[in-house]
Amino acid sequence: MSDRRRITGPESALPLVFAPTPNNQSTTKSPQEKTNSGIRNFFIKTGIVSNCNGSCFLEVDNTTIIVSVYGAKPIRGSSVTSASFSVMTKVSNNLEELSNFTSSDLSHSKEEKEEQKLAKEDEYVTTNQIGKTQLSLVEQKLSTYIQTAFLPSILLEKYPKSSIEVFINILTNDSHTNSSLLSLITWCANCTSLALVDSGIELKDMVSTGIAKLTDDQTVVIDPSYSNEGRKTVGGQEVRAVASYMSVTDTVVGLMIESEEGVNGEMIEKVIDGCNTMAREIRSNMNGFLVSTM
Amino acid sequence: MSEEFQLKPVSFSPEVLARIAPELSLQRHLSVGVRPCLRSFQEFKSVQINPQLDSINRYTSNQGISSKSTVLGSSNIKCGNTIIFCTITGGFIETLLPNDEADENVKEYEKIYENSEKQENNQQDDSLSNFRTVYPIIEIERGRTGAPTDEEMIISQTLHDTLLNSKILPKESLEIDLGLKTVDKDNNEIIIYPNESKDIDSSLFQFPRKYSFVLYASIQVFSRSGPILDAAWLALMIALKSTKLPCVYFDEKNSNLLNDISSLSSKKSVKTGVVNAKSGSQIICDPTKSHDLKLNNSDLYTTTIGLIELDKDFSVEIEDVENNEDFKALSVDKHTRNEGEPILLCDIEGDAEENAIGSRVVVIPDINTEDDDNLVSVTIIGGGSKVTKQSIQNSIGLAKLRSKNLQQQS
Repeated sequence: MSDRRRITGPESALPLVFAPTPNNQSTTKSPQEKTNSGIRNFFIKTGIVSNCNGSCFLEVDNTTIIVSVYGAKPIRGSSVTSASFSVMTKVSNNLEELSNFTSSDLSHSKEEKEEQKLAKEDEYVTTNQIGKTQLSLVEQKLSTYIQTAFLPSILLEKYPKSSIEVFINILTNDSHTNSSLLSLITWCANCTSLALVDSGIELKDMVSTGIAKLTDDQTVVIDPSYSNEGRKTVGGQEVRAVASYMSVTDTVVGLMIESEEGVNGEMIEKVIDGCNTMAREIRSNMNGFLVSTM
Repeated sequence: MSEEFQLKPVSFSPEVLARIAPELSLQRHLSVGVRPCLRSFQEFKSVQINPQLDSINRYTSNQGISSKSTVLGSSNIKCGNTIIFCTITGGFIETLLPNDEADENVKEYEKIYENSEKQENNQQDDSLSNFRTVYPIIEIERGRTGAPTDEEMIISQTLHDTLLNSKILPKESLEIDLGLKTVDKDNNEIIIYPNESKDIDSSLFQFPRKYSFVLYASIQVFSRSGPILDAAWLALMIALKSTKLPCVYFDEKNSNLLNDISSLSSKKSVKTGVVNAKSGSQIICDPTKSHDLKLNNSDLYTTTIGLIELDKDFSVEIEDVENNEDFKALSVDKHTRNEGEPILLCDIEGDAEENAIGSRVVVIPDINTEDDDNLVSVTIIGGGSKVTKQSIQNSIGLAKLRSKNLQQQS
């Protein structure tokens, strides 16, 4: 049955199919080159959404995120002793490329034939369905990670019979650099952290998140972006990880590791160290920002 | 034993009062000559039109190409504290099939307006069937999920209808001149377009079906503080102005195969999903070439003005404040108003104003024509207060002023 609450347009309409961009043209316009050490510059501003309790805007390269926090607000008819905490992520309708993450990220490991086949399917970008109601896979992953990571940091028992809701809006995503899902999670998490501080909800500690990549030759790259590495590391033993920390108690509250070839303890240790380095730097940045806004 | 009962007056903070007794709160403010939002009566919110989001547009102004984006146009505006993002995406539709020829809404309109148009000599060029609209989805961020709210549905429908009736988007603008992807003598793949290569036989471009674009608009609103029709319309207009439609070509490679399939299916007169998908994947958008979307008149702006009458019952003593210099600076319009005329408030903002003001006048003036009295649309909602001739005239005047101002900005 058609959606009668939205104006969805004619049903016989077909999505636009775009031919792949010729390579020489797509590479001409890449954003600023990033050196392998250091974190990309990012812009943050809190309190930009006025009809919520706390909000934060974050921009890094061409990725823009708005996080708004609603709560603690009362839940009717509930008598729980601590607040419920939920995270909703919304990726703008037009950012279809995000849903290709899983398939294209996997294509590294597969045999060349299969990869080509997959790549061919990925080449044709089509428009997304308008007015979708269910969360996409990417949105689910993002929500779950952030909910897990922030649950230990919020003093939920201070807010009985109430709920705290976090809404993450990804307005634009970096289509030039094709930044990965992990990178998106990192910046969403850092943005959420500041939005929670802005909301005045009582926290044990601020959560800061870092991303790192362990390359073939066992070097650790923090805040990796696809712009400078190309995506041609087929068969490489790459390990990518996102980790979230509460610095005061020095605990890891969230961890996500991605690799095609499998990982061992040594690798995990190295890559987590990388994440930690970045998270600390982010934390000192956020501290500086919060002091400056006081 | 005697007990003394005392009724203590209850006092509320302005924010709480605005929510629980909007009428009272607003009347009290107005009686001393200020609005709850501290703007003067006929002061509009400041509007900031930011450059389009180059990073998400597929065909940006400087011909850079976002390799995977499907966004054809976008806008980002700030109106007071309210932030609005609008992105335009597209799809295509076969136009020669009689079933798909026009959108159902268009047909309905035509039914309604058929009679009146016949009386006016039925000008062919002006018929609504020659114009198209976009399909907007508006999302107002307010910390909830699920089905769209009433307001979102109403505004989507209003944007859709207004755009159609204002005849901004002619049918021709969305029609696709199909190019052809073929191989030249040296077996290289080339794409030729009818409008750029005139020496090529035009019979090459006679395709069995005609296609045209459909446009979708996705509008996201943050920090809503009042009715947002004006701002949403502005965002949509700016996004449409920036929209670039892709050049589209027909991929010759599988055309023979396709013809076979479609002839088979037409014999059975069954429209199968397989054929649909196939024919769709043959019509392919050029990754780099695009052209501007042609609009008839892109300088239309909606202006919503609230009308409210002062109620003397609610007026407060103002002796204390009258001698206060600071206060005099704030209250501007107190003595310039005629008795009995409702007060005109521009850009309704905040709980008190929004809930207490039912009467509204929505005007879209056409400021590009010589004729000064040309209006595209006037909507008058009588919600309680007396709407006088004078106040409608004033509203239209304000709307014209506002439109000219916005025209200069954008």
